[in-house]
Amino acid sequence: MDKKQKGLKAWNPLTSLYLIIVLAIVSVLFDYRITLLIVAAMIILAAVSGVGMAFTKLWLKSIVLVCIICFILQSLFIPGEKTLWSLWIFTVTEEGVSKAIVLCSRILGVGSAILLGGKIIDMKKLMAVLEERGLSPSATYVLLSTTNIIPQMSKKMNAILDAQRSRGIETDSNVIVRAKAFFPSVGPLLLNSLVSAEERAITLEARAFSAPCKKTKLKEIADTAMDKGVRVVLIGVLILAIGGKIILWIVLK
Amino acid sequence: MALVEVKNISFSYPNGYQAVDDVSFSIEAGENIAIVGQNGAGKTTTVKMLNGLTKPSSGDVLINGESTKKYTTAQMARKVGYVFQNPDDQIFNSTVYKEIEYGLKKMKVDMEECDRRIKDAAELTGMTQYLETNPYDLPLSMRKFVTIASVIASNCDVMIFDEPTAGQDLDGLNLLSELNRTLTGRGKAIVTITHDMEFVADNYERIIVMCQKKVIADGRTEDVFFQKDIMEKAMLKQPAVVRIATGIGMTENTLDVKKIAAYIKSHQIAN
Amino acid sequence: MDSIKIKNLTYRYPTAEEDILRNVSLSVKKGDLCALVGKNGSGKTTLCNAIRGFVPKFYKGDISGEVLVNGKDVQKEEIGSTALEVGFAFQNPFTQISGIADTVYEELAYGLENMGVDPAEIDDRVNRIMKLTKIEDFRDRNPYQLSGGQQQRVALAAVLVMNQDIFVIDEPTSQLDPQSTDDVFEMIKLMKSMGKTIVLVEHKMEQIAEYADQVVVMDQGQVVMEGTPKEVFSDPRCEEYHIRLPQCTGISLDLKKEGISLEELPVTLAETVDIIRKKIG
Repeated sequence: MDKKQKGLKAWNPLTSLYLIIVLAIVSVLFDYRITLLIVAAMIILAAVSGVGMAFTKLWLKSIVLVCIICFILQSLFIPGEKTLWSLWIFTVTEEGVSKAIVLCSRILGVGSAILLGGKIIDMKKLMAVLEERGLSPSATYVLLSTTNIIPQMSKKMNAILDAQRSRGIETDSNVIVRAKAFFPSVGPLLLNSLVSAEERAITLEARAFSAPCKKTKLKEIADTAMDKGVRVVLIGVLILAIGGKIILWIVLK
Repeated sequence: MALVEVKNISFSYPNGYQAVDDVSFSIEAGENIAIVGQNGAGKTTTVKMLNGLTKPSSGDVLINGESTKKYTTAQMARKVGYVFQNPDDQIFNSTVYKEIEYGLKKMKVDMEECDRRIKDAAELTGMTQYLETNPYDLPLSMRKFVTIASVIASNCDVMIFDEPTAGQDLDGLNLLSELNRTLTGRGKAIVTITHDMEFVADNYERIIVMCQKKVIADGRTEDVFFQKDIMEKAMLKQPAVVRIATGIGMTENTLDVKKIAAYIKSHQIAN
Repeated sequence: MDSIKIKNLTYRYPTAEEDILRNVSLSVKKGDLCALVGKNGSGKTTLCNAIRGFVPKFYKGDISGEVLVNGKDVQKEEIGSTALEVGFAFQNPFTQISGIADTVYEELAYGLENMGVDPAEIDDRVNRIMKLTKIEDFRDRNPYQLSGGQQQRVALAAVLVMNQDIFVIDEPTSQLDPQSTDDVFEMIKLMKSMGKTIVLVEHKMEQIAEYADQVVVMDQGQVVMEGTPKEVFSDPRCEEYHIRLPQCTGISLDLKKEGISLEELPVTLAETVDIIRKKIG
């Protein structure tokens, strides 16, 4: 039933999660040159996992855009001594630019890592692994069901807006009109959610959620020697990076 | 001119899925009509075009001679009331009274008139003793009557009830048929979507049968119910009274048990 | 042998001023389909919840009396243990979708995973039940993309696959169209043929007349009538308790009022036509 997964997607999700965390931390520890290298590596990793295009498109539209905006705002508004460039009330200073670079480098590193994680980690598999390692099934249920139920809530919202329009409540003209429609639309949504939450709790009980049995998983998630090896290496890299950073810091002092 | 004129309406979703295909009918003031058919046959989409919630992709709906296209749904609410399938999609006030009042306030009905209408609507829907109750303390079948009361209070000419019979017990069904009679007596036109064929046989003079996005029959209830092929095509069951009449060899289309009794008597004597 | 035995059960919801169940005693024989009928608010749903142990474990409130399921006292069991004894399904198809399965196949497997069934056996059981309940066509579809009727069938199959002896099903067809209602009753018939004990709340009396072994009428929290469909529906007290009759029974009563003599009141269509045909020769 499963398609053959490529690259990182074939890994145990926990291994992928380690990788994402290590990449994010390392990029925060070091300056923008390392971050740029790491981001380049991420694009390559996404590509070998078969999600290169999808990742890059989303990355350009979100992370890169946010970085550009942050960079402009930071460099324009952080005051400093050494003026690089000035026009009307705007002044770009060297201090501003260097702070902007630091901030953007962090956003770029962490943001890209999270984005890559979203593309290559199957949440369901990750939750299964975490559950095996002791995370409460209730926590994993909430995390997983939320991603499924949110689109259903937006459908519900449309039904509610229809119902309220039909009783004379304007919902789609200017801002004031919309604000007035806030309670009639959000009210039923919340009440509905409460009723559904109770019924869904019953559903879970009906499906033996709290039965005194050790749960099994339909799909066993392989944790190969390679996975274990990679995780050890990643932890090693992380320790080295942190150690390296501390040494650099002491030396520079 | 009829109160409601539905002229060759079709509707397709932006993704190309067609939900209603070339539907026409008209409704007079004081008429009580049932729309029946399988889920997915296009019933709800059709009635949503009566109050302008959905605008037809082609064709037009005229209420009192005016096209629904000219108005927003909220403006249409004064003319066409709509009771949704799920009452919880609209209820949010803390008492039944306030819930019914809400729509009236939006329509700027004055206080005294408001109170009079709310009490009248509550009377018709059996809500009088629950006016100060929180709607969510009532069972779902009664919450449905809260939303019906809101529509009755708005005093519009056309009222649409989407599956009011679902989950109702005998008392609920009796209440429903009584309020149908009262409202049509006041000259309101009522359009009801339902799956309860026994209820239809007992309460409606005219039915519209929808199947695969089209109207496949529109006429006197008994005439339609006795057309076995139409009912089968629409995947509907003939009510028992029809199956009994057919089963014992009657040729007349009737839903009247008295006529069946007369038929039995006349044949008993003959034998 | 009785699968379900309820003795003098009285219960009140936490914030309520009155008891919703009053001194209810009831037995359901193994393999029987017991239909609960009565006005809305008469306590049918609460009784279902009591059999499954949700009353009082989930809803709290005051309870007295006993509910024995397969000989075990439900109130003394953990709410999760009763899941292994009693299958439970209810009215709303939408909230019976677990929300964590991407396909119908996974939805059915979910209960078995929670029960700790071996993956190979899960696959086996899910496939077999999907075939029996004729939902194989939806196998790889997202449960949320199905119609209400299809969701209800998936919900029932997801419970049936867990293979308890007893099923409590509360108004499964109230929100469905006639075709889906028939599909659901096909599944209930299947459960019956598998020897399951079923407690069913339902407003559709035709189906009850056809499938039920035992009909229990509730009114204001009490069991007021009990018997075979024929015994119950031909009892004049049905009117007193505002019970909707099977259409044929209602019509036969009307015929009697018109002076047609009927020795016994029929509850199914075939019977009715038969009786009248004999009269007119």
